[in-house]
Amino acid sequence: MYKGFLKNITEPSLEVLRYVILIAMLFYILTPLVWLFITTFHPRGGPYLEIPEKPTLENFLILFGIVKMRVGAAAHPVYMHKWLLNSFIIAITTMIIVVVLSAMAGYALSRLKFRGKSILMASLLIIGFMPTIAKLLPLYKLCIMLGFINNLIGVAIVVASGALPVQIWIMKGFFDHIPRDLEEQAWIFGCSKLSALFRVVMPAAGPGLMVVAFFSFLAGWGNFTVPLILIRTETLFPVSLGIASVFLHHPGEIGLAVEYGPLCALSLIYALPSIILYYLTRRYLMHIKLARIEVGV
Amino acid sequence: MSISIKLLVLIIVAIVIIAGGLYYYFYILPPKKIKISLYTKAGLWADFIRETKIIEKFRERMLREKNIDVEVEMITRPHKGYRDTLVADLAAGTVGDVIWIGDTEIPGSAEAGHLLDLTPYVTKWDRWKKFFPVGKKLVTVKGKVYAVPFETAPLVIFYRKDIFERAGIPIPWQPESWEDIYEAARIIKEKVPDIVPINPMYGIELPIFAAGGIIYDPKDGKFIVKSDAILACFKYYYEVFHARKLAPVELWLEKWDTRKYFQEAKLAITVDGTWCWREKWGPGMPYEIRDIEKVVGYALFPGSGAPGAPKYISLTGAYCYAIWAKSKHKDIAWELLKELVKPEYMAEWGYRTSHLVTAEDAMIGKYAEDPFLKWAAEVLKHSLPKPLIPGVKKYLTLLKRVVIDYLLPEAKTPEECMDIFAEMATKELGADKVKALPPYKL
Amino acid sequence: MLKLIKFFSLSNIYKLLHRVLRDIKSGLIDIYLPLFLVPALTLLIVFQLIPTIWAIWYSFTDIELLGRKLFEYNFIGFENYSDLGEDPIFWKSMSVTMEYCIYSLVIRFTIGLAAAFYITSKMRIAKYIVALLLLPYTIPGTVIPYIWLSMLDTRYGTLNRLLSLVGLPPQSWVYRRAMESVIMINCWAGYIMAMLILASALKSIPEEYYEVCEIYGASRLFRFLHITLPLIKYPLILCIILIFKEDIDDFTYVYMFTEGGPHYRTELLSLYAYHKAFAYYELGYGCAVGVIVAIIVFLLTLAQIKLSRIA
Repeated sequence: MYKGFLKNITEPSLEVLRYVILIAMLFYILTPLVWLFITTFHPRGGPYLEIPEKPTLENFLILFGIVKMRVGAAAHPVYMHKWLLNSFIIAITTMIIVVVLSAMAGYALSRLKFRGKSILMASLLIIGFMPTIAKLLPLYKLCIMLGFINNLIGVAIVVASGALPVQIWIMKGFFDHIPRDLEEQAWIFGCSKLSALFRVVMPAAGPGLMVVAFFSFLAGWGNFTVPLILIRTETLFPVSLGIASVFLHHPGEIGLAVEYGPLCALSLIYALPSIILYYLTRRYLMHIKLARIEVGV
Repeated sequence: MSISIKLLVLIIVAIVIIAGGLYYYFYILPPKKIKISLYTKAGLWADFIRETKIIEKFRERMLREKNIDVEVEMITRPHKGYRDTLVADLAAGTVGDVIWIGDTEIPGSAEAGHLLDLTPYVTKWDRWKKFFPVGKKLVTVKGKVYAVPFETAPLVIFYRKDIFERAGIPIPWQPESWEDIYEAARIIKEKVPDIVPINPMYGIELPIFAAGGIIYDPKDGKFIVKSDAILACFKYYYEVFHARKLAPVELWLEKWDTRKYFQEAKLAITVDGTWCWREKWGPGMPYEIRDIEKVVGYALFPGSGAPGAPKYISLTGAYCYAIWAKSKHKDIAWELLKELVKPEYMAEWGYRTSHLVTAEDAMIGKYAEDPFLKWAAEVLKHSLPKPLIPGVKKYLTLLKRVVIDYLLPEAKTPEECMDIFAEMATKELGADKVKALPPYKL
Repeated sequence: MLKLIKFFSLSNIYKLLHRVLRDIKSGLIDIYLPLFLVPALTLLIVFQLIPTIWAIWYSFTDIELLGRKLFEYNFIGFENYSDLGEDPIFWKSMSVTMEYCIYSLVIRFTIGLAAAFYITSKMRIAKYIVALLLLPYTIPGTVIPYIWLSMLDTRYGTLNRLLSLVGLPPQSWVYRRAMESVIMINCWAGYIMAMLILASALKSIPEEYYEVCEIYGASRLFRFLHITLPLIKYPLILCIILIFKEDIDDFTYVYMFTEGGPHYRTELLSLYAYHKAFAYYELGYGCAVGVIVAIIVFLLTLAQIKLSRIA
């Protein structure tokens, strides 16, 4: 009786609390985005929030070089369409590499049983633990040896190597959740192992592939450090480098020396593919299956 | 029949080709093909080179003068992180033949043997005499020239004429000593409420030189960590921020946007680089000041007023063009470098960015007509080059650390600050690399 | 010699290929399953492991990025490491890093978990909330620091303006609250991986478990501690490992905002390594800091995995 009474009081107040927390969280997350959105349509985008009197689309025109930004010392994003294309190439290539390799590795790790498998799984996570900044020069020298300079595919490969470990874990999780019986039944019905793999296992792991595709696309799409050291011609820059070379160009302190209007407009455009990809994969993103940690090291 | 006709046609064709080839060979020597690369910043910098068609003109000139067809490949690196990528590229040996390099990287790169010694080239070059001495000093390491300066940006004082009028200070204003600066700021603080009277410095180290001091003794290769000038430098900040409270300490600690404050007339006096004139407050820029000539005045930074101190002073760095030591076509690279620093390009660049030109023959065209830029050339006469020794960066970082970490928040006295600084510098630079000038002791 | 040539002759290779194909067709693929691992491992070894080992080698030398010592560097054994032990800034930086990582971890994780609960709840607006919560992830990483710089400015910043609307005094975000600001920025787009992984884990919990709880009238806390938590334990641990790795590696935000100041209060280890390697050009020393970071992360990961087995 008493318990029920307590419950009657706590339930609604908990419900209210729930919404309060949600609103606080959304406030934290959305405020900067609101600023971003407003500044995009501000004719003279400054770093601080100002509601524009006359909203314009000029910033988008500036981005594609239709309208010149400013007289005097201002760079013009002459290669914007190429930069978008390059980013896209890097992102797609990264995606393909990561999806294929992590699917292969994930399947093998899921089905194989060997000693030291758990150590291998753990070392996958540990392998990239050295901070990037310490590895930078060796990585650069290595890439020069391999001829990855000014090579978009090379960039994608390096980015993919960084994204692989986690994605292998995710892929293995998905394969673990596909019962072996399913495959075995397929064998009984006369499927060869290979065709069972493609006809039964892969479709069942489809959501996993989508999830990996989403993450790896974003890894390639937004990367800055790897193209920074490998790409040395403006026409081959991805957008992240383009931003760093065109809109952040004034000397002086970092940060406040920025062309905010076009930068925000670019951010909106830059966010589009990710949003589309999210829309395509939204059903699967909430069903990520992770490999169990079965490490005995 | 048909075979012989075919044969005949074939022979005729062959003769024509051979004759044509011989004619071509003997009468028009095919130009020698060469490929060199130019390593520069992407965006504004590369755009400038493309817009002014420097490379095309250079190619034409080479073809005409030396019958060499030079293909120039542009290697471009983003502005953000340029220094880091440049250093990494130098280390990995993948830099271009001609390099756009900041003065701070020159001594280290020269020591590592990355940069070509340009001394034999510049001695034969007429224009070298026209370059301002301060720029020349910036690119000379141990008597050898390693680069040719292209732009420089000294520090000057900007002040709001409207605020000065309200405070009743006569314009034009040119402080003759630090006391004048304190005095003007004090009057503004009294008469015009709710504004920041002064932003005392951009960077940290200029007051040392303004007090007639040096930070490095070239005779014994030691950094000076204790001297009257260093004490004066700390005193300058102490007076402004604590003793006379002419600026809130938060101005620096919180990195207030001084350019924006200045635009909104919330800041009366600021020490900043000449580039602000165009890039911050120029027409169409984020912090545009209308009628800037009427509203904003400029003055030279004065010496401390102590005996032995200079009358006016400024400190300047430079961006330069250098040649990679491992370049395969050094002479052609030198020709390209000469093309890049031609007076007309310097003047155009200086006008656009309000960076200053580095040679007197470049004060032409729109640059020469601009009153501010014309005045700024005056500054260069009083400018000191940043000292070019490996380790200077560490020294200056430590100096800044002491001001930001001790002097401002904890209100440590100048004497205490100097002790802290000396201790830190001795540890970081090594005891054999530092010394104290009398009457101070380590 | 002849044998070797014969072995590599075209017909032999053809035969080999033929056999592999036949085996695959006839269902003997298991033999070749380990081969599936090869490409991924090659990539990881070449682009992750080799640079790491290379950097470890540098950490035993006095190499400098610029200057004479770039080429004429010497092997100096553990000198860099013993210097590290006596370096007060390193220890300061270590404690700062721990503080940063722990707070970041807790906040990223809490927000991620809360968000996961919201988007898996039966609220009608859950669908839209997911879309909103994912938005920060789509903003390019190069732009995020600039957005926040404008948010956090003492006088003009949006955040302080909002505070003054509510009647609170403005805060000195970039100085007095430097660490809080940096953590706030880091968490802004940092909770999403955790959110997705945890949401997936929550969704995979069978509905019946909760129904049983309803029947027995178990409290929410009991339900969370005894049903939800054990069932999402593994994703949870992995989340923590991933977040931790990211936090300790990434120094973009401190680099942009505070440059390690005020008074080394935000000098993260990775930033310290960067400062040493690229500002002071002491690459060897910077690499040594990197190695220490790697060792710490390694040990903590092991500890977490161990803990997860005990629990």
